Order: sequence, then C-alpha cells, then structure tokens
Amino acid sequence: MPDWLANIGLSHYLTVSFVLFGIGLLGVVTSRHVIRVLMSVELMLNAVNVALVAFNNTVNPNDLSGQVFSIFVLTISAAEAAVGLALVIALYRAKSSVDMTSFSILKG
Amino acid sequence: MNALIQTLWLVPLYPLLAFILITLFRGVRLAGEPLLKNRSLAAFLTIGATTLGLVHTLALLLAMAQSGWHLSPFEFNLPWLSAGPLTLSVGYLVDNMSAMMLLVVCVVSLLVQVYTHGYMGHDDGYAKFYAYLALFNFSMLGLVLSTNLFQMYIFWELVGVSSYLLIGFWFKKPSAVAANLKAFLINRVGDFGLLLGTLGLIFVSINLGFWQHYLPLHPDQAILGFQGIAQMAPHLPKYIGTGLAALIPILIFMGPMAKSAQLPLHTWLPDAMEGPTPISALIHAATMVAAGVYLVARVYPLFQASEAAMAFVAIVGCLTAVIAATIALVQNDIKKALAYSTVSQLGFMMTAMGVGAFGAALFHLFTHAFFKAMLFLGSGSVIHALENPDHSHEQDMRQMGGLWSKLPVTAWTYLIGTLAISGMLWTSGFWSKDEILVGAQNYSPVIFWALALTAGLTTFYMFRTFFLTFTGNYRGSAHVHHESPVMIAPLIVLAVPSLFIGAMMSGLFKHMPVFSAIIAPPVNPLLSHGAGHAHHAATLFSPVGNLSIIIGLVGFLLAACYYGPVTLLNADWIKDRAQPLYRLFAAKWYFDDIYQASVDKIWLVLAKVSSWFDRTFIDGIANGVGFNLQKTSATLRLLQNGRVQVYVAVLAFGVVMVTLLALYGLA
Amino acid sequence: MESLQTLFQANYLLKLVVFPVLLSIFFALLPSKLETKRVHFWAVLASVLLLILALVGYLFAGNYQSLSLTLPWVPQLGIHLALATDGISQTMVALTAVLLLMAVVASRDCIHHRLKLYYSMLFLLIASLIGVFLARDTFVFFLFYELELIPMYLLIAIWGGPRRQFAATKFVLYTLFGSVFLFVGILAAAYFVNQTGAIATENTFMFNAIESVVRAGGFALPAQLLVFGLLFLGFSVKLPMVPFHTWLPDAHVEAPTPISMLLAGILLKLGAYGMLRLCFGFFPSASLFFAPYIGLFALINIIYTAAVALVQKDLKKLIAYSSVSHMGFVLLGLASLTTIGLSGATFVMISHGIVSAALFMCVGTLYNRTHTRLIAEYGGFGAVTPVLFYFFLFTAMASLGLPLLISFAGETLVFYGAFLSPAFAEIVLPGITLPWSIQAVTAASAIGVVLGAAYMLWMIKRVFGGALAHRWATLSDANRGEVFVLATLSLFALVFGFAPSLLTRQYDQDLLTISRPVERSLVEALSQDAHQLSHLRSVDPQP
Repeated sequence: MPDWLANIGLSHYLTVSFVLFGIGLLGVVTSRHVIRVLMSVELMLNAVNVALVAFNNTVNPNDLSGQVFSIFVLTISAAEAAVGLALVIALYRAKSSVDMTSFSILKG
Repeated sequence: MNALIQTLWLVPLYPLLAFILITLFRGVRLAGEPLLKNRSLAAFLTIGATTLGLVHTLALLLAMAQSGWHLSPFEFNLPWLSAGPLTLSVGYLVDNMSAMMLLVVCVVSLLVQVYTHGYMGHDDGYAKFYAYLALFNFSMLGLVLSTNLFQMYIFWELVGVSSYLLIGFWFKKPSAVAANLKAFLINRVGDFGLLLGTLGLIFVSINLGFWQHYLPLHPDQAILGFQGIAQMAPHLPKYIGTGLAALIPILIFMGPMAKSAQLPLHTWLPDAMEGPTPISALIHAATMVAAGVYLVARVYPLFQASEAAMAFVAIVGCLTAVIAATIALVQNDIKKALAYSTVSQLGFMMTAMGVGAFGAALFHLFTHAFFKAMLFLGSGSVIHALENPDHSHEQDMRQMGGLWSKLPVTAWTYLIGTLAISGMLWTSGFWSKDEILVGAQNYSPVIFWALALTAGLTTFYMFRTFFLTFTGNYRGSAHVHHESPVMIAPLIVLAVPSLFIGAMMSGLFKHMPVFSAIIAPPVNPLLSHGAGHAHHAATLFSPVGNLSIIIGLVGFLLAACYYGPVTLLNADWIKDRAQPLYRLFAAKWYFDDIYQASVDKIWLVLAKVSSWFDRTFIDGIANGVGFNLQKTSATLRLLQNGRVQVYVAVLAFGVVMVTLLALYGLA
Repeated sequence: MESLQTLFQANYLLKLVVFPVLLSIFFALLPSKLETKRVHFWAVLASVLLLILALVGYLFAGNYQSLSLTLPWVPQLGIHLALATDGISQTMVALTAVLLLMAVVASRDCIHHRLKLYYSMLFLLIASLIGVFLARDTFVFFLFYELELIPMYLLIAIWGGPRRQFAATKFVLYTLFGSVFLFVGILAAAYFVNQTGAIATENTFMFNAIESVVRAGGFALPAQLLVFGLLFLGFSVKLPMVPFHTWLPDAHVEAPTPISMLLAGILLKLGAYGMLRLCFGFFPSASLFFAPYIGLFALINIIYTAAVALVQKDLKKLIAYSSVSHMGFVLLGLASLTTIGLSGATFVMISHGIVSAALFMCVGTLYNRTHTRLIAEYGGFGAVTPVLFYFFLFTAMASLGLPLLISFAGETLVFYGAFLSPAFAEIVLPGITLPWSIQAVTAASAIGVVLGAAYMLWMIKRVFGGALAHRWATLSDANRGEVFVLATLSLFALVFGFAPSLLTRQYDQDLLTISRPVERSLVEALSQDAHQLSHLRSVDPQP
C-alpha cells in the first residue's frame, strides 16, 4: 500500500473537496440546461460540506461546529433547491425554454 | 441775447419732440384706431418744430449781427456718462460757426419739409417719412451744436442712422436696401477711424500728465471739448512727435472721409440716391454730407498742427474733386450726376480745408447747401412730373428733354442753380469757389490747376444735365404732369440765396458781414502767419477771378455745343475717340467693383473660413470628445452580455488569480 | 416710503431667494386640470410680484449693508448661507426679474404643453439665478451656480427644438466641465485662506474672508494666480469665451424663445458677474498678470465670433454668435483693469441682457409665424410685418451700438477704459512675445463695431428688405403680447441709452470697491516695481 494511501489525512479530504468543487464549478459554467446548473451548484455545496467536516476533524475534533455548519448548508441547499426549481418553472413559463443561453436579457 | 443763447438747446429738442410725438401717434392705437388719423398732423408737427428752430436761429443771428459778431463762444455742458475719473459730457456750443450752420440746417430743412408734402403726398409712408425727417433734424442740429468730439460722435452716428432709414425708405426696392446697407457700413468704417482718433486724442492729452491725475484740461470744459482741443493742439507735435501728431488728425479725418464722401470712401453717396429725392437734397447734398467739413473745421487746430495732415486732407479733397467730376461727366441718371457733383464739391471744400482756406471751405459749404438743395429739389420736381405708365418715375436724362415749357419754374431755378454751382459771375458759387481757388493758389500750383480744371468740368457736366433735361425735344415716353405749387415754392425761395448770398457776404457791401472774417479758425498762438486770412475778399477783378470766369465760359460753351438746343458737336464722336477714358469714367474708376470684389473674395471668404473653422475644429473637438467617449463605452458595454455563466467563470478565474497572487506574491 | 422700507427690510434677501422657490412649488402643485390660459395668467402674476419684490431693493440703495444676512449652515466646514446685495447685485437681480416677466409673457405663444412643470422649472431657475447674484459665500455661490443647470437642462430638453436632447446635454456637460475648475478653485481658495490661520475656520468660504486675507497679504502670488486661473477658466465656459463657446449656438438654436431670452440675457452674465466679483474682486494682483491674456481673448471673442456671425445661415445662430461677440467687450473692459473699463463691462452685461433678450424675442416672433429660421427663406417681410420690422430694426440698432441706445454707453466706457489703461504693453505667449499693447488690442477690437453693423444690418436687409415671397403674403404681424415684450425692452434700451447715468449710478459706488484695489495694484506695479511683472512673466508660474 503506497504511503499516500496508508495515511488518509486532511489533504486527501481537501483534494476530494477541491475536485468536487471544480467539477461543480465547471458544471455551473458550462451546462446549458438549468437543472444541470442547479445540480452542479448542489455539487459545489457538497464540496464545501466535505471541506467543513474534514477541517472540523483535523482542527478541533471535540467541537462539532464543522458538522453543524454542514447541516446548515444542507438545509440551506434544500431550501435553495426548492426556490431554484420554482424559478426554473417560472423561467420555463416565461421563455418556454430551460436553456441557459436564452436567459440573457440583462445585457448591456 | 443771453436768453436766446441759454435756451438754444430747445432748437434740437423741438424736432426730437416732433419725432417722439409722431412715433407715438403712429404706434399707439385706441380702440383699434391709430391716434394719428389725419396724417397731415405729422407734417404739421415736423414743419412746426423746424419753424420754431428757424425763428430762434434767426433771432439769435440778428442779435449776433447787432453785437458785431464779436460774441465770445458760449458753452454749456452736462455730464452724460461718467465712470471713475472719466466724465463724458454733452452740451451745446454757440459761436459764429455753429450759428451759421444752424441757419443752413434750419432753412434747408424747412424748405425740404414743405417740399416733401408735395413729393411724398401719395406715399403710404408719409407720416413715417416726416418722423424720420424730424429725427434727422434733431441729430443734425445736435451735431452742429456739439461741444466736444465725443458728442460729435454721438450725433455723427445718429445722422448716419437717419440717413440709413431714409435711403432705405422704400425698402421693397432691393436696390434701396442694398444702398442703405452700403451707406451705413462705409460710414461705420469712417466712424471706426473717428473713434480711434478720438481715443488717441484723449490718450495723448491725458498722458501728457500721468495716469493718476487725469482730469479735463480745464474744469469748465468737457473732455475732448473743441475749445480745449484748440488750446492743446498747437503743443502736440512738441510732446508726441510729428508722426503721432499727424496720425491722430488723419484718423479723425476718416470720419469726414466717409460722411462727406471723400475718396476712397465716397461710393455710398451716389447709391444713396435710391432714397426719395427730398432726402437727397437735405441729407445727401446740403447738410449731412457737409458735416464732415464741419467736423474738420471744429478740430481744425489739430490739422494745423501737422503739415502732413493738412497735405493729406488737401490731396484727398483734390483727388475727390477731380475724380468725381470726371464720373459726373458720363452719368445719365439726373440724380447720380448731381450726386457726383456733390462729391466733387465736397472735395473742393476739403481741399480748401487742407490748403488752409478755412473760411473759404465753410463759405462754400454755406453757399453750396442752398444751390445744391435747390438743384436736387429741382431734379425731384422733374422726376415727380415724369410718371411712367407703370407708375414709376423717370430719372434717366436720355428720356427727358424739352421740359422747359412744361416745367418753367423748375427750369429757371435749375438754371440758376447750375449757374451758381458753375461759379458763374455774381452767383453765390462764384464767390465761394473763387476763395477756394485763391487759397489753393497760395498752397500749391498742382492743386490749383486741378481745381481750376475741375471747375471747368463742373460747368460742363452741370450744363449738360441742364440741356439734356430742359432743352431740345422731349425724348421720353413718360407722362408729364404739371409742377405742384407746394414743390416749386421752396425752389423759388432757395433761388434767392443761391444767387445773392455769396455776393452779400463776400465783402462787396460795407454793411454786410464778411463770411470768412466772422468765421475764422481759433487763433493759433504758435503760427505767426494766420492761415486762411491770406486772401483778400473781393476777387471780382483778380487774376483768379478772371481765370475762373474764362474756364467757366469754356465749359459752358462746350456743353452748349454738345448738348445745347442746337447740337453743334456730336458727343458720341468724342466718346468713340476716348474709349479708355470713357470706360474708366463710366465704371466710376472701378471703386465699386474693387470693393465688391474685396467683400466677396476676401472678407466674406475669411468669415466663411472662420465659420468653417468654428464648426469643424472648435466644435469638432468638443463634440469629438463626447462622441469618442460614447464610442468607447459602447465597446466596453459588450462585456456585460447578460449570461450568468460567463460572469461566474470570470468570477472564479478572478478568485483563483487572487488566491494565487496571495499565495505566491507578485514574484 | 419709510414704512414700506421697514415692511420689506426684514429678511428681504431671504425673501428674494425663497419666493421664487415657493412659486416653483406652487406651480408644481397646481391642479393638473387647470386651463392653459389660467396657468399663463398665474405665471404672469407671479413674475410681476417677483419684479416688484426685486425693485423694492432699490429703496435701500445706499443702505445695502443693513440687509446682509449670514446664517451658519455647515459650520464644521465653514459654510454659511451668506446673502447680501449691493448696487451690482441688485441691478442684476432687477434685470433677472424684468427678463423673467418678459420671458413669461413670451411663453404664451411658445409653450403649449406641460405648463406646470415648465413654470415650476422656470421659477426654480430664477431662484438659483437670484441666489448666485446675492451669494456672499463661495460655496453657496457654487451651489446656486450649479442648481441652475437642472431647470435649464429640462427647459431645453423638454420644450426645445428637434435636437433638444443633444443641445441640452451639450450645455450641461460643457458647463459642468467649467464647474470642475470652478469648484476646485473655490476649494483651493478656502484651503489657502485656512492656511493663513488668520480667519476662523467657520468663515473660510465667506467672500469677505477671502478679500481680507488677500488684502492682508496672506495669499502668496502663485496661489492667487492658481485660484484666479481656475475660477476664470470656470467662468469662461459660461461667458462664453472662445474656444469654449460652441455650446451656446446649439443651446440657443434648440431652446424655446423665452429660454433663449433668459439664457442670453442672464445666464451668460453669471460668467461675467463671477469674473468681476470673484476673479477681479478677490485677486487684484493676479488680475494684473492675466490681463494681457484676457485682452487677447477679448479681441478674439469680438472679432472672430463677429466674423462667424456674418455668414450664419440660421438667424438664431447669428444672434447667438453676436452674443458671444458682445461678451468679448466685457472681457476687454475687465482686461483694462480700470474703473472706467470695469464700469463699462458691467454696463455691457446689463445692456446686452436687454438687447439680446429683445433680439431673441424678435427671432422667436418670426419663427412662430414662419417655422423656419433660415435667413435665405425670408425676405421682404417689411411689407407684411411693419411693427416687427420696426422693433427688429430698433433692436439691431441698439445691438450695433447706436448712440443714445443702451449698448453704446457700455461699449464707449469699455473702449475708453481700455484705451486709456496702462494695463499691459505686450502679450507674452509661450515661445513668442506679441508687441500688442492694450491700446493695439482695443483698436483692433473696434473693428467689431464695423462687423457688428455688418452682420446685423445685412441680416435686416435680407429678412425685411426686397420683394416678398408669395407664401408669406398672409403673414401676421406681431401680436399684443409680443409687442408688449418688445416695446418694454425697447423702452429700457432707449431710456438707459439716453440717460446712461441712471444705470451707472446704481452700481458706481459699489463697483469702486472692486475696481479701486485693481486700479491701485496696477498703479503700484507701474510706479514702484515696473520690472516685477515682466520678471513674473518670464518665470511663468502657469497653473
């Protein structure tokens, strides 16, 4: 078993979090479908959750503040998903489209 | 006497009042009706005002005659405009010279105003015409009574504007509005010089002291007052050098050059004949155009102080006299011919001023006013009588002839006027012109012979107009009306001074005042030989007198041979022989063409270039700054494309860059 | 008389500023269903009241000090609501009120929609104008000076001609450009005043604080030059001075007639007034340094714009350029640094206010009937509109400086003052020295007299002379309201032209407080240290 696999530490969790965040960001930036953008946002939020939990574990294991934060994020993301989906439906009603490129009225 | 002098300010005030009243009556409407229902009221007011002024003047002259013309000048000044140490005044100055001018202005004005009733009787602008006449009268009287150069400038411009209004009286005629514009602008050019001369004069007179203590030269006198100028002028060359001492009077002379139609600013006067004929008689022959001579007389000590300035005046006057006479030879329009003769006679007066014959110049002004007014009124009578089928009036002498029988009074008075202007024996023009010739003889033979030649030319062209108009057969198609009594009465009145006033005031008679003795320039303490007094009064049998009679006779005989009732010589023959000269004269020596070309090709082009520069460069830069800012912004705003994903990408990129920067620094 | 005086004395200055503001609010609050005629009527009534209030000020003539009013406003910054009046201010206020009445009467024929907003803005404009003339605190001065932009923008942009948006924006941007310098200049003046420590901090923006510091020598010459230059630059946009003048023709062409009258009649005077009171009034020594350049620009203003006016095809543009040309006389009078010249400059400010308003009224009257401003389309109008012809000719004569009409006295004083002044013997520009004394500049400026006659009378000839085109045969003459405006303004031109001392004696004494120090510094520079000035120029501390 290689050394970097034997001792799973903070950096590993952070790497996962980073990759996850990157994938999410890439998804947000590149997706054309609104639902996919929303899902990518969820991915980014979860990446943050991973980071929070990992930090909590390393920095102050006795205190559960990181976990509490991640629970918060989960609730918020649930609410966000509800609002986001409602917005998507409203957008669809207005534009008959869920393509991100069609939502660019606010341009200069 | 004192009361008469102290109330003399009323004389110009009467016509001003008449002007205001007529204007108000014309303008104010009660219940839709103008107050001035009966338009003769306008004539009544104007003529009444002038009559009052004339009576006042006559009373004053009588009183002055009783006192033997030794009255010391009376001057009254009222501060008009003051700022800091400068106080400009207006007032009135009474001396022999202004009294004489008052007489001329009042007499000619009154007669012209009476005449106008006949001439303008059917014109729609009758009341307006009288209003303008009153305005002119006010301005001219104010000019005559001026105490100082500044006041002179005020009224100088006011007579100019009266002239402008009256030349353009028939503003529907394009030629009339062109003529009055030209008259005003050329006069403005002259006024520009007059203004500079005035400024220069006050500048040197003040800077002979120093800035802090500048005060009028004498507490009782106005700044720029004529009496003060007379005291100061002889000392000028010593303090400011002969160059400046010549420059100032020459600049001042630009005003008279324009107003009195001297070369090269004379071209407006012939065009001014577009105005109604009474105006041509009053303003453009007898009074206003003579104001230039009057101004020179008023500041004469300035000219005397500089030989160069005197020579300048003499040369300009002489050239004007000669050139205008040559142009008059070939005019076919009766008024144009008379206009050029006016220019020529004004040249005589100016020459007289230049050669030092001060009294002679004013004497000629005095006599010329009467006979030239009469000639113009006579021409007006002819023009008024000749009505074309289209209701226009005939002015071309080629369309006249043989009018003697139809218009006998006009013809007789015109003949008298012609004799007078030709300087024929005993008429008033003889005396005044002779004095000028004597003065010129003392000054320079060239100027003398030029003037003598011009006198001959004058006789020739004046008799030419006479013969063409009144003798021979009628050549025109216009209907000939009868003379109107109200128009011939002034002619008859004017015939009297035209014939006799010269002789009366030439020193022939013991009990009559000698003109050039009572009207003399202020005594110059620095000049020992009193210029202007050199000649003796009676010139009846002097060599010069004989010469002028001979020249006059030659001119008359030539005119009679060419244009007389029995044509002995053919005018066309000589026209063909002297083509270049004829063309030169007919083209008025090309002055008008040169001016027109300079306006079109230089001044207007310069103005257009300025306008283009203003639009393209100055405004272009201002607008360019704005437009370029807009353009830049238009490019920049494309960055905001409304796509959230792009913003997020840029945001992420930014965060990453900032993080990297924070981690690794700028290195 | 006495009781009337006391009746008005209490807070007279505040009333003068607040009353038009109240009127502005009043018109904004009028019921929107009110008939057009009624609104016009109310406006006329309001402006008559304001005129009476403005003329009441002359009751206090000679006792203006008792009126001054100083309320602390932002004491931490040293800003006061300081108002005062004197002969100059009061005359400008009276001119404003007269022209307001004229503009309101003229509005009847020109303004037909959104009247409430129109009059509300008009009175707000007047309030700010009066405020500028009465302000005695540089900051308050600046506030009023800027406040005027808002109503002016709307007045041009809403009721103007086809390119009104462009013209209004250009006007505002141009003026703001000038205001930047003005504001920096005012702040710099306050800074330098504070530096000396001689003045309590809460007074730093007061006019008399700056004056007293300068008089006590607390202002170093380079600082004076800097502030003078900044202020002058700011005002020169408003005046306007070439090359900052091109907003004016555009604004005039697009503005409705009454606004043009006010724009030419009073707004331009803000620049001239500011120069007179702030630049020359505060910094006599600095004015010595700038006089040659001001003289040079005066010459350019007079001659160049007169030449441009000569060939304008648009009647209103011609008049607009003639305005710029006349403001050159103000500059020349200022550059003379003498009481005569400054008095002339003040006189020209007033005379031009009256004459240019009348000229724009004439143009507006023509435009209302023909709906064109191109001179080429006119011709022969003398036959159908004799009354308008009469007034237009009269006004043109007044404009070209005919004696016994109002402009003549002012121009005379300017010419005499400048020609007699020893203000400068040469003009030093970077690289070259022009051997032009103020006498030479004045002489050259006098050509403007010829050009002024040329463009005015040539215009008159083309508009009124000659044959009438068929399509104008039914043109109606000036109506009663128009005749009222023209006759009133003509009467002013005539009365003050005939007796200019009626006008000069209103401001003579108060002008001395500005002109004396200027003249004194000139005399000192000439007599004591003739070389100081030339030395100063060679160092050239150009701000």
